[in-house]
Amino acid sequence: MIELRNVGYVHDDGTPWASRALEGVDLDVGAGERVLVTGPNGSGKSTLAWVLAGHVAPTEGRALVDGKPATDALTKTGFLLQHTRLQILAPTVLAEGERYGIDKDWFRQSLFSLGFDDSILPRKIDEMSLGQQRRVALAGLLARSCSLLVLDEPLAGLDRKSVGQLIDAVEALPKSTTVVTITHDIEASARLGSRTVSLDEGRLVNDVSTVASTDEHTDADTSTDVNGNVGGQPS
Amino acid sequence: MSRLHLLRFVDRPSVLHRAGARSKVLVLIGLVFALSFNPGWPSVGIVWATVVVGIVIGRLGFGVVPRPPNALLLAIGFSLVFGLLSGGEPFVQFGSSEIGLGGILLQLRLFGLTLGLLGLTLLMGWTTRAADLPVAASWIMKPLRAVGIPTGEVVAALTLAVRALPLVADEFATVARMARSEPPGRSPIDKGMAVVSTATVATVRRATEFGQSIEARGPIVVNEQSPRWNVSDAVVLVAGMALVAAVALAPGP
Repeated sequence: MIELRNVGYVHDDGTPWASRALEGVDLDVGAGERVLVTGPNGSGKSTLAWVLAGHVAPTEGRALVDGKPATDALTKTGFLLQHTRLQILAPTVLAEGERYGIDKDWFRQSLFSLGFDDSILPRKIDEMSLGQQRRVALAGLLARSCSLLVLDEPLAGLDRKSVGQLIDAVEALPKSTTVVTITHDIEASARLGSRTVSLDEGRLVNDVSTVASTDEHTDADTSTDVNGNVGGQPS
Repeated sequence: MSRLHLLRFVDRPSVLHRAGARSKVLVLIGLVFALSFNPGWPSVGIVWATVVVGIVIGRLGFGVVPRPPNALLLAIGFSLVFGLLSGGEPFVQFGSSEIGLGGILLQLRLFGLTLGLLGLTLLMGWTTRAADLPVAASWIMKPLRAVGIPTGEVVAALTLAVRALPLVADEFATVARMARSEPPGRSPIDKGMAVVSTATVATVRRATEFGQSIEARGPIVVNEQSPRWNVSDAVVLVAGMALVAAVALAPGP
């Protein structure tokens, strides 16, 4: 599904303001996998999200989605921004659904799955809370049946109830949908991913499967660092 | 090439960087004033040469020069076509027909002047810390207080604008990127309107947040203590006066 090979990204490359956000990132994510991407502030998480979502082309290496450059897969990729208002380009909830040409009933189903009812359809986006806006944007992405969802800090700024509704909706997605969640709060986001990838200073430093295993591995022994050392121990 | 960013500082050891913001603003005002009286081709040439020499003297490197947005290039292209259609002197013979270049030359001069002035503004931004601009504005506007103009409010507004500009520009870019992920079918005008209205909402939200933080933390106080004049200021002011004189005395349009 996702194939990153030696991906690097330099903001304002070739200018005096050039700053490296990603370096030498190799990552494979299979169809239907749920991956958390974490790391400290400035570690390149959000840049990685933009690259995965295909809105930004890497300045080095290759970012492929289903074998094609991620930038060519915009229609099959859904991207939920932390500042969600910047991606809802319609004045009302109903208009947001129409903007994507989504069937109205299908859009309603998505809204219902996120805890809304029909009364939400005529509501103005700017009269809604951040949590509601984010759920509306997510409903749009769900209704578009994207095969890849990239969620950038989806739980940031939400109250407990909104967090629960959003996580439930993501969990209820078809098993074939790949979900990559950028988060700095692993604990709150734990249900959104069965694999955690850590970034630090733009480099992928850890890749841990956190799924309670159906095979015989435990959390610890499926952990690998970037050198391929298993369980965090040098081989 | 970079994206178009106004007021983006590049830290370099140069005479342009050492000169205070007020010297550069004064030169810019002088040049704009002179150009408004004499916007001929030689003046356009002087402005462009100033930008190029400024990039060299400021040790900025030509990587600072932004790539013009596609929309701007498209607008210029359309405008030049209409300029060509409008004809006018001088005429050139093209096969059996005569084509008037007056309109297109006028358009080219207009764009040359506009982009040159944008270049001068960018040059000031590359060599001046944004935080120094309100102090410079406060100093320059001091005489206006005598006639009752509330310069404090103007400077406070300028301070906020300078702080908000990069954030708002980033949000505009984000909205435009998100619009690109829409499936085809929606008219470009509808899409453009949606981008503008969403970006406006984002700007208003940003302004509201600023307002709330000012309410919580008290009014903006601009340090009115301007830095001392230095040798670099003198160099910039003398060179600036020479440029203003050159523009004013250059052959007219």
